[in-house]
Amino acid sequence: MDSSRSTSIPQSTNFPSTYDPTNIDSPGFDPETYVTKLLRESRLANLLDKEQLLTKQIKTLDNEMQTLVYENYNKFISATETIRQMKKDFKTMEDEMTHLISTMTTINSNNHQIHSTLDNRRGEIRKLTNIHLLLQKLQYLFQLPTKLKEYAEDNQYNLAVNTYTKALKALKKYEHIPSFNNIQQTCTEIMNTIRDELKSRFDQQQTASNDVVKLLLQLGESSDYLAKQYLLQNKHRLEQPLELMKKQLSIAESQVGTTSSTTSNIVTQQMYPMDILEFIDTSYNSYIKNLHEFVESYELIFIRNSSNISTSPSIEDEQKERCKYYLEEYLLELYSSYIKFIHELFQSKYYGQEDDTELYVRAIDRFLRRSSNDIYKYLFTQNALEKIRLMLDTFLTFAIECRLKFYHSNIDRHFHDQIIELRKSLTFIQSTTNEQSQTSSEQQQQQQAQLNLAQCVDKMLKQLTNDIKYTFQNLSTFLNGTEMIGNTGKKNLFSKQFATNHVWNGFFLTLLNRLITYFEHEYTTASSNSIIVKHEQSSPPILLLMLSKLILNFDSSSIPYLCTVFEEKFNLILENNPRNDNQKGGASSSSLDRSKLTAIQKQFSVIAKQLLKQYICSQGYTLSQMLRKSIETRDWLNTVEPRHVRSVMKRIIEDLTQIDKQVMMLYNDQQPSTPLTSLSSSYGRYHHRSNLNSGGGRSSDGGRRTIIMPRSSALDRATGGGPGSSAGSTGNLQLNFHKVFNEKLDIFIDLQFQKTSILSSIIKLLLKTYLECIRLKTFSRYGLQQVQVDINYLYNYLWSFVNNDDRFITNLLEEIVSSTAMRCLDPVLMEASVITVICEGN
Amino acid sequence: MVDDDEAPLIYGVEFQARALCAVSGVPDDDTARFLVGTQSIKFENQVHFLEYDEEAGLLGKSIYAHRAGEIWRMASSPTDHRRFATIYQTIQDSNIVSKCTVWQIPIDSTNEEPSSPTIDASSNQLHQPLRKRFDLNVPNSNIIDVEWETNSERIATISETNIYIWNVEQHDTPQILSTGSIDSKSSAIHKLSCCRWNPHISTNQLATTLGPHIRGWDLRSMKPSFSIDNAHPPYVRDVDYNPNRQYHLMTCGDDCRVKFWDVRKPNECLKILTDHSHWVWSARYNRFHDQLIVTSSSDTRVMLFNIASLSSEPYGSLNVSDDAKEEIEETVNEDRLLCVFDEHEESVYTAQWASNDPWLLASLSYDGRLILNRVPKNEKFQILLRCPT
Repeated sequence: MDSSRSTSIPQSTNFPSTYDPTNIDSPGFDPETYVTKLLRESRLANLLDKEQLLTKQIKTLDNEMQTLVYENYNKFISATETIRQMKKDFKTMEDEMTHLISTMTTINSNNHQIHSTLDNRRGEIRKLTNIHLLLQKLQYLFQLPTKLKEYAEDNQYNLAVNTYTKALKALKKYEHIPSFNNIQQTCTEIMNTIRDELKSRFDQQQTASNDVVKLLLQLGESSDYLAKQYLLQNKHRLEQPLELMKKQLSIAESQVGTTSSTTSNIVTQQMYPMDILEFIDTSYNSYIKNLHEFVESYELIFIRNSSNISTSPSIEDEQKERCKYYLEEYLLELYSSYIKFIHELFQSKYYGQEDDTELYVRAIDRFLRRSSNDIYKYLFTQNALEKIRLMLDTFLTFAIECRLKFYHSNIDRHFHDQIIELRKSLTFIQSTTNEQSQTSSEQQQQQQAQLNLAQCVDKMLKQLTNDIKYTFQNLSTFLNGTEMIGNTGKKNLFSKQFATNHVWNGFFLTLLNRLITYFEHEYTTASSNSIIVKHEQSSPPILLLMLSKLILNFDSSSIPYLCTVFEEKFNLILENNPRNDNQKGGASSSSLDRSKLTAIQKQFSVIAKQLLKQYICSQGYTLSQMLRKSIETRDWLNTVEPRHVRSVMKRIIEDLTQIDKQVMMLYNDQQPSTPLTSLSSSYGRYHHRSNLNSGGGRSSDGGRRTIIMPRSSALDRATGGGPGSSAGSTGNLQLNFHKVFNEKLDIFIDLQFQKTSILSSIIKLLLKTYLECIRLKTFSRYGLQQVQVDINYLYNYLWSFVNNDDRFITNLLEEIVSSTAMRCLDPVLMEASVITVICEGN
Repeated sequence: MVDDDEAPLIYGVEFQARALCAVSGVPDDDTARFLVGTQSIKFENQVHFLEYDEEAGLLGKSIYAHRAGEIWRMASSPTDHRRFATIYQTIQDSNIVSKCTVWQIPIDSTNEEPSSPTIDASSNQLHQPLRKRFDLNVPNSNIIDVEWETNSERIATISETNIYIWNVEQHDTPQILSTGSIDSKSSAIHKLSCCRWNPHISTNQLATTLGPHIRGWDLRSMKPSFSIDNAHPPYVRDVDYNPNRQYHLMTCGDDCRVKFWDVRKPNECLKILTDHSHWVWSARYNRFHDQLIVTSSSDTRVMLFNIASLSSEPYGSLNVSDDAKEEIEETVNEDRLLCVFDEHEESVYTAQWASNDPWLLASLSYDGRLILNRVPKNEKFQILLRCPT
């Protein structure tokens, strides 16, 4: 065992020294090991020393142990002694305790005795205090009337009401006792006077303080009346900001005129009114905040405050409901007046004319959003909500309509300005043309001015189209820029409605209709309603021509273009077929009926035609007048033999070339073979020149030119034939015979937007006038010959204006000569060759 | 049958003709009568006296020679159907002279056989000449238009500058009652061309045309009573008074329009018709139903209008039911062009209503074609239904 333990020692050298078996002080001390170790390690001397040391130590330790044992013994002895002593002490203590218990019981019994005796007294005292309190209360009641009176006299109604309401219960309790009843009566009397006083004060005051209302409520005044009165009295106060705003608006309006004139003035610029968005914001803030506060106080007084009067809860609820109802009505009223004001605002000159559409739209949007947010808080019933929504909706449509009106007037103004400008520039052109200056530079200028005609039309057209396009763009901001609160849920529906109702019908179609009526009233006399006697000359004929071209182009190019713009902006498709639309039903949400537009387009083309007619009439009229004067003033019976073409004819040809140029600029013949047109016109010019230079040009087309001669029938009748009825009738037959083959003359039959068509109409008018004038005259031989010369001169030139389609001209000219022959006393015709010579000699 | 009834009746005169007038003055007779005067420089001119028997559908004609000259206008006596006045031109010393004569057709009112066919034995003509009653000429002036007073007591004639009122009560000895003349300033520019006697105001008013203007004359003072300036630039062709509304006047002219006026407001035109495409030469109110208007124009068309808005007849009659009334008012309230008679091939210078048949009208074109037309039946019935009588 030991060895084994000893062997383990080196292994456990790392063990704490406490387990060192060699350490004498450690608990794991092993004397054997220690000794062997000592013996093995120490020298003898050391061993001896060690032994001595050990013995010494042992000895001391022994001594120490002995003393300790002794001490322990002593202590034990003393302990037993104290225990003994303690036992003695406890005994005495026990005795004392028993004594204490007995005394305590006696004290207790004494105490009981005292208590029972005192109890009686205490009951009496309590009764007495109760009676005292009651007496105090009664005294208070007795004093109540006087107090109340005092309060009333001191105008301390607040106190009075409070005391009264406190006393009211007691009074009710003692109602049966006559004296108390009396008190109550006097009290109620006083309170009634107070109430009356308060009421009168309340009624008189323009703005009642909330306290008064509260007091009255406490006094049991009917909340209905009070609420109504309260609302009524506050109305004025609440509407004050509205008045203020109105003033501001009128100021702004009055500045519309001044700002334009004195923009340089710094003062006015400082005074420059705020923009519409700001205005709406501020007005809304001031007005609605006010309203908001008012509503709060109202609710506090009438709705949240439970009344002191003991009424059944159902009645109270009912009253509250009623109060709510009043409030709602009131709010609706106020709000509607506000909206009315906003209407005015949007209608006003200053704000309604706001140029910035985005701002405008934002203003509308802001208003709608804020009001719908705020107002819904105060409204309780569905009915009121509906009403408000309706109001807002109508406002929205109103605002949109205002805007549309604004655009209308804008476009109208632009258009009128343009027309006025055009008129001005036309007078310039006309003045230059009228001068008929021969210098080449001026002619150039003239030509330039005339070249501008087409450009002018283009410019106007562009302007108009752009105006409309921009308006579309602006209107589309209504959809893009905002949410349009209240419609967010059905945004698609709204945008569709907006696009169809407002933009398409309200704006575009109305605009077109207005244009149509404008043209009808201003420039065509077809409207038989025109009461005022107008002269055709009121608008220069070129203007008519240009406008007709403008309308035509607008109809043909601008409208389709604008339609595509519209479709793009509003995501709608214009449907051509209305039936299709019906069949689709649900799918029609993105399509729009086009039929109305086509009707309008038809009207446009009709108007263009009318304007053209007007142009033809007025040009034909001026030419005819010239011709008519020349025929009427001449004495055809006493003329000399014709030597020249009359100058009127030359003038007519000149004017016709002028007209031809004008018309050419705007209306080209729409034939595919444009060279033909240019050829013919150049041919005409060549012809003209050749005639001026020499008679040689005549021979080149002499083959197809013939000399216009009266119809043989007319001559037959004029020269020979017996004056019998049979001869007459055959003559008549012959006379009428050609008419079977000639179509009836109709000046405006299938008038087309082509130069040839226009010019031939003018020429027809002219020649018809010639014919009618001739028929009213009587001619001598030379008169007839002069007409022959004139007619052939005309014939030489006229055919070039109408693109070689001169059948009707030949017919008419023949007719004229025949008529002249018949109106001639001595119908001797001039020889064809002579006519040719005279015509070309000029 | 209906087509037959409505088909126009065409009659040809072998010369060119401008003058046409309805013959009145034969009471209690259903025959409609017209006079046509020819206009020929070379040949003897004729006056055709046409009698249209509606029931038989026959047109009786008798032709008389008018040797005085070519006839430009005619006016028939309102009381004697045999008498009429013509305006004719002749050449005297290489000048045109325009004259006026009142003629009598050589038949007796008692339907006797015409008296001896040739009064003037020297001429060997086929046609019986007219019996000349009296001239209404003033020396050195051309008479341009003639018009009978409605009771035949007076005749108005105009020259280019003057108005003459003749008293013809003593037959065959006409006397000038009064003359009036336009002021020299306007006469320098324009000439009188046409006159109409106002059937109202005790027939003391005469409307004349002066170039583009209208001048009204008070015959008691021979002073202008009203004037409408620039009614039809450049020339007014015809004037007619509304037979029932005394201030209403209709004019037409070379601006291709027909206009309606209230002479109390000469600056405003009541209505303008613009349907014609050339000069309008005549415009006439129907004597019986003044909403019916016939116009003729050199665009070879004769047009029939219903201008209910300016008519003296009320829009709705009292004895029609409400539904019918509405319907009628719808159709009636708008003035409209009832129909266009386009059978003519030439300029139509006159169109006239028959004097005793409210539904018959005659138009004469320059080529001598006379056409008798009727108001379309449905229009006729509509008017009759509304007419309170």
